Amino acid sequence: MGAAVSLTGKFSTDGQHTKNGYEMAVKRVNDAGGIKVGGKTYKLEIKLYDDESSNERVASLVERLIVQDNVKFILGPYGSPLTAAIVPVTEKFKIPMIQANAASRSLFTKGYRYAFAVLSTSDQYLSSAVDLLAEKAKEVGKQPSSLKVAMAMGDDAFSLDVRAGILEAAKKNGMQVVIDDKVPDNFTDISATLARVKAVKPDIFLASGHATGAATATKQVADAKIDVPMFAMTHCDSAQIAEKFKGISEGILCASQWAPTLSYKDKWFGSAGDYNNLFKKTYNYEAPYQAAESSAAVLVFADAFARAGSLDTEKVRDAIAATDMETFYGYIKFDDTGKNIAKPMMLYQVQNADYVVVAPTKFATAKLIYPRKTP
Amino acid sequence: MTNLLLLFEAPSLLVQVLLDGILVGSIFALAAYGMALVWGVMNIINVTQGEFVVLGGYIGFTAASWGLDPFLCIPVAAAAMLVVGWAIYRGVIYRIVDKDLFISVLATYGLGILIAQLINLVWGADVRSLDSGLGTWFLLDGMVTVSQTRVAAFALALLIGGALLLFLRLTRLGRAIRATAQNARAARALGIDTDRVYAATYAINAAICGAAGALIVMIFVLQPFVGLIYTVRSFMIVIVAGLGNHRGGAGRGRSREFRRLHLRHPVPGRFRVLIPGDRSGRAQFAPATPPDVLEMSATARGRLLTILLLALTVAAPLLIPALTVQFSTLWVMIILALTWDILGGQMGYNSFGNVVFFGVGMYASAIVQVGLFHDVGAYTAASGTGVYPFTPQQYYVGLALGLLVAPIAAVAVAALLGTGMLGLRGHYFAIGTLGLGIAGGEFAASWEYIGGASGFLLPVFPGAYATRALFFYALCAALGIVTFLVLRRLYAGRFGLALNAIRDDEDKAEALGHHTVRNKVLAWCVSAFFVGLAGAIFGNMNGLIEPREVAFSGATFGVWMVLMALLGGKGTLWGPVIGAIVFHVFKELFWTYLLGWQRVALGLLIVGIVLFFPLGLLGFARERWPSLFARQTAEGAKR
Repeated sequence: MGAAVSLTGKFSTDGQHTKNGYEMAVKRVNDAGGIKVGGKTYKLEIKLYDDESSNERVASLVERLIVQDNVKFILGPYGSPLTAAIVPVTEKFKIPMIQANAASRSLFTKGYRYAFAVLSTSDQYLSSAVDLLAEKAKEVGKQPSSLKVAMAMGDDAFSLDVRAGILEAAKKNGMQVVIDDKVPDNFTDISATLARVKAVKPDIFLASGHATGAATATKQVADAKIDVPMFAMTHCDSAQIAEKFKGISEGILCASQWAPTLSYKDKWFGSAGDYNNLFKKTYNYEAPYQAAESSAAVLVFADAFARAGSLDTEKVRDAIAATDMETFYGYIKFDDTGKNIAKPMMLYQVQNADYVVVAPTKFATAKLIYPRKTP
Repeated sequence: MTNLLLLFEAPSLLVQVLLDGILVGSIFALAAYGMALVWGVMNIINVTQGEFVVLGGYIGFTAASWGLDPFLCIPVAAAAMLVVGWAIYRGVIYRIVDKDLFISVLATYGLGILIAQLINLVWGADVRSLDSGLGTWFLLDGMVTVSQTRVAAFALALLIGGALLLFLRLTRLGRAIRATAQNARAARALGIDTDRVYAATYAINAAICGAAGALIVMIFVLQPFVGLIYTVRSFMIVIVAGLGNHRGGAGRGRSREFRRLHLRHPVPGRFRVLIPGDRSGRAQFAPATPPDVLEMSATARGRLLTILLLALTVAAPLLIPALTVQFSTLWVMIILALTWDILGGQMGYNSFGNVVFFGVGMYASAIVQVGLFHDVGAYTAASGTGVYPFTPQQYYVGLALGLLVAPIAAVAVAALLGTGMLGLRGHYFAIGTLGLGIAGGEFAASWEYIGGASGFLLPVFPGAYATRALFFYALCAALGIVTFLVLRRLYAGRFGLALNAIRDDEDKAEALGHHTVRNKVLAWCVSAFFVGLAGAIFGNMNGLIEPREVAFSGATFGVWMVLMALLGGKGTLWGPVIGAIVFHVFKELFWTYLLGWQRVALGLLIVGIVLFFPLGLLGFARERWPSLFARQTAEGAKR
């Protein structure tokens, strides 16, 4: 298998998680004896390149993997923009690719045949928070249509997708979007937006801008003492806000693909909690969902190899399409467009410097603290 | 509009925004002050400023993790950066301090890449931040919040700035620095060790950045690769504050020019005799070297070489089909380097802004290709969510028209920009073009019609993959060859000589009746024509146009084209070609074999090019083995 991930550049934090996730799963599968494919046992191996977070480089690297290094199966890079740049390449070569970290909706509307994604699409990330707010408002007898939404979104394709999802959810609930800012410069400063948030007092503030954005938003909202009943963002676990911003991160809602407290299991890693423990032992930090979904992508390949009984790319592709499995990461089953339809999005809340799942209710391990108490 | 209304509804907002601006601005001002100091005293634009800030922040962060109070980390970071700055001066900067201003941009750009990657290797890619432990004040019934950290940072920034002013005014070293800034030669004549002064200035700047970084890590968050933002901000502040404010900067520059004129005037590749004007009042240029018999054989040899190279061009993708796309990119690189050299080498105007034409061509072609058959706004807004098919015929017609419009659009932009900017001379032009790439990228990223920051997906080539690669290779190679031939033709004629005259002495050229500005703009338009076309092809080859990283990538293509021309030898026809090949091959090798360290290697390569091959590989070879070049020189004279 081959992959180009971002070890340098603006996605390097998340790229590192991706790499760790891939490598840990490969090691795990190999330690468990490898995979039996048509009577022969194979070990997995990944050839990695650094794409520098640049979609100008990533396509040529993937091409190099396929053409020069003879790689027949591709694991996705970190992020939708980079993935969008390589799908045309993998499609041309009819090489199956499982993307672990590309959630952009637009990737699933092109009729790509060899691309699959284990994660939920990005428009679902924060729309769940808006829905949750509407639900809470109704509980206290408020009309959702009286609520005001404010958001600061990074100027990148992923965040713009998240924004589209929020706008849809707000419209559905009749909420008014009062601040809708695009943040330049890799989301390193939002004080101008926050000054306005303070003035208009929205009922929810949403932020998205990868790991840098999560850290910036956490810190600056606290510095400016912004008091919003609900504060939700993406990428908090990859920025490790609960650990690194103890206190000021209390009560923040985080959109997540996965949580270590979930009750899913598989034969390689055991439960989600076991995965987290192994990850912590190997890399000395809590497993972020970016790592978990990356590991899951490797497991899908492993499962498909075994079922295909062959390493023929076409047969493996069909086996992947027929995937219906439970992993520590959640259920995985692809629809015709290649996205995983068996797994819902989670919302965490930071409570006592820990992440607890508060939505959807089925998986909730704690009660949502609403309105958020400004630390 | 709603934003403006908000100001009236909530006047406290104004106070908040102003306070934030002033408090945080002071830290940026600190970094900018350091940049201005180095610029003024040493005539060096230190584009690694942002990386210094980030490195300072990481050092502060580490010191704090040892249990030090965050505010005590500031002097620690400053002291550590003082040493780093001094070491960098001794290792690299002292070699470029008497070189052209634009050399300093390239060298410090290379250093920046190096430092950012080293930070990434040492500290990892995680986002870092530091809690200062201070609280918040509330003003106006809690409507305005003032973070105490920011106030402390503001006070410290003022303190450091003030201390620096006093230092420059009162101490012996400070006075020496100011004297050197005013007139380095006079300072030397008066017994000031200017080398020491430069070392001190550079180290002090690094220390200031270190302090600023240690403050920034308390207010914002740091990540190894955010340096560029701080460099750009410092640069903008310095520019807005006024270039005249680097005391004696301009005067110093002039005195250095004089010294260079007397001591080591660069010997041009060929000597020329100026024959004062004919009746039309224009100057006539004639080659000094008489046509000689050797030329025949030189031409024959040249022809053989040409045939060989053409054969290689055709054979390359057939021999190693796996590398076809890399070869195509190489051709694009060659075109970029060749066209950069029209201004940079032949005319002596160093442009960092040519990448704008690349982006303009790319987008212009994309708009035409899509706009002919669909609504562009809907196409990009859908970003693939709607289905907008292209028949093969539509694809080729669109591409052909796109390739027609792209160079026209690029030339139009060049004419417009050129008329405005080419009145600027020398350094000022180079500085003026520094921001062009970034400005273009931001503009494209904010224009939803062409896809904004999400980018612009191009129609997909209707053939098989291998055909596609060959198709674009053929386009790139053809354009590369045509560019080369056109430039050879241009350089051989009056136009080339007119450009050289501008490079060698613009005042004299003007005095001789040359329309220098017109020629300069024309030269830039020629450059833009080919770059725009290359951009259109590259965009289609890449499939996705991303505004900041593909189209208007000033920090990669924009700088690389300069480096490649420089590496091969600027001001020569073959130099940029050789430079592009060597640079591209090295870069690809680094990415393949030095994973994780590739950017360190690239940074070292760039610094190495700037330090050791200022005349380029061709210039180096010519100096070392002049006999080898005897014929080429004769041929050059004929050109």
